[in-house]
Amino acid sequence: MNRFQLGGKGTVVTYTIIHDAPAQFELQKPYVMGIIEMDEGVRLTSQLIDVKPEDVKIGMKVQATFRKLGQEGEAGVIHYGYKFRPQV
Amino acid sequence: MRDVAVIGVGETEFGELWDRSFRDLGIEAGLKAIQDAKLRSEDIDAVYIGNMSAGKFIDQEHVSALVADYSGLADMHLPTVRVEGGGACGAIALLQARLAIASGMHDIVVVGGAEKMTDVGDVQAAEILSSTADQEWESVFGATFAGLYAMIARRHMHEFGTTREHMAAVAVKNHKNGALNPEAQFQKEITLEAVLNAPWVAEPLGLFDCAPLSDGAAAVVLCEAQKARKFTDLPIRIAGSGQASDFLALHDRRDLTTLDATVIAGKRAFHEAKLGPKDVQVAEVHDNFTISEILAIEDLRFIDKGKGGPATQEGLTALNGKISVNTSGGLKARGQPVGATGVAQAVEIVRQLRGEAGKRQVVGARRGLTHTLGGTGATAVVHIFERGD
Repeated sequence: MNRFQLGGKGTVVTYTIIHDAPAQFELQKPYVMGIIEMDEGVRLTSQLIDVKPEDVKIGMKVQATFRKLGQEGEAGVIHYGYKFRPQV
Repeated sequence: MRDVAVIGVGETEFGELWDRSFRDLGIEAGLKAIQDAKLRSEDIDAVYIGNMSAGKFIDQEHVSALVADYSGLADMHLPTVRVEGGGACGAIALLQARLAIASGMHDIVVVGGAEKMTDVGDVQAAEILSSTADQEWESVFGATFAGLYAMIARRHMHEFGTTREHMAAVAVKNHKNGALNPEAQFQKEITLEAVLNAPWVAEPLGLFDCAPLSDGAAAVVLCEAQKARKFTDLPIRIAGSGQASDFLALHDRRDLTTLDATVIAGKRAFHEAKLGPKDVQVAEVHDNFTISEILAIEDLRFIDKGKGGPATQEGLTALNGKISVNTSGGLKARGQPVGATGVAQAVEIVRQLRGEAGKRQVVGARRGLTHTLGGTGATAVVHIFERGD
């Protein structure tokens, strides 16, 4: 195991547009998920946002951004984390 | 190691069986296999059960003892083992039962696989299936099980030119086979257009690229090979078995379009059997999604890498093609009660090798293979079977 300090930038390796979603993501569908290869060489799975699903391409350059991922029920703990959007 | 053979098989019908409980299904499959082997209850040394998630699907854990109890074996006080390994649990149970006999510890073991999936709603069932992926690195971000396989499919299309029509050809073929299987969930052919026009689940996978949610159970009886002759004139020998694991999360794998666990499990099984892909006439592979069958036939080296789609479209994997793949209808058409999968695949191969597969019989089948996946390929199991005559 190696530790990597990530700069937040990477490239889309593959992606999907999710139409059948878990209950927690119901309001977001359809949404785009991708596998991103970070510039440091490691890969992550994350949502791709601020882009139309039809504009997502393999090879697209993206950068991480801080977002709400979900929450545990109406009054539960809110989960924060990263999503990726096109590099500007 | 002692040689091990299958001497009995049984399975329930697969489908949305509203009037059947987990117990009913397990009993029916187990008793059919025991009757097929012509065993008495005192012949049985142990019971192994493949079950993925009874705790979540029906709020019942400890299904190992339950199945023995409801099969009328409680007063035999047999050792019972429940195996979990995502979708591969039934195939792992078979492997562990084989080892228990090979080691000399037991002579006769009943291996069952069962799942009751339709007591929960579709969305919840899909979430339970997704729990075999990496919850902390995949699911929490919104990646569904179908979504992860869709990303494999998208990459396979990108690297090899695989098309939606290639993937759809898997579904069309497996429904055609399922139409010949009286125990299949969908005994109905479907057209290429129907597959291509189905609603999206996770692009590029539509509804008919996905195996269904199902209830069902299957069982086989394993016996030490010498002793097997006392029960049957045609024991089906397990010639080789291989199991392998890989990174739990898809994104950590070496290659997104090859399941290394399948490659390695296949190599281990073929090595033990001293056989190669050309020696096998019939295979049941894990087609939980259409892309999965394309990967399996490539990674097991039945078809060259990248050519799985065109090979399916050309009929190389059709009934009595170059290699007959998923003659039962596969997970796609026979159905996918997860825990039963690996065992049901073995049931189909045994029927094929005995020449008891009816309208879907592969002519001259002497050796067959099962391939079962857990998660998105973090586990793979391969068994190779051959006629014992």
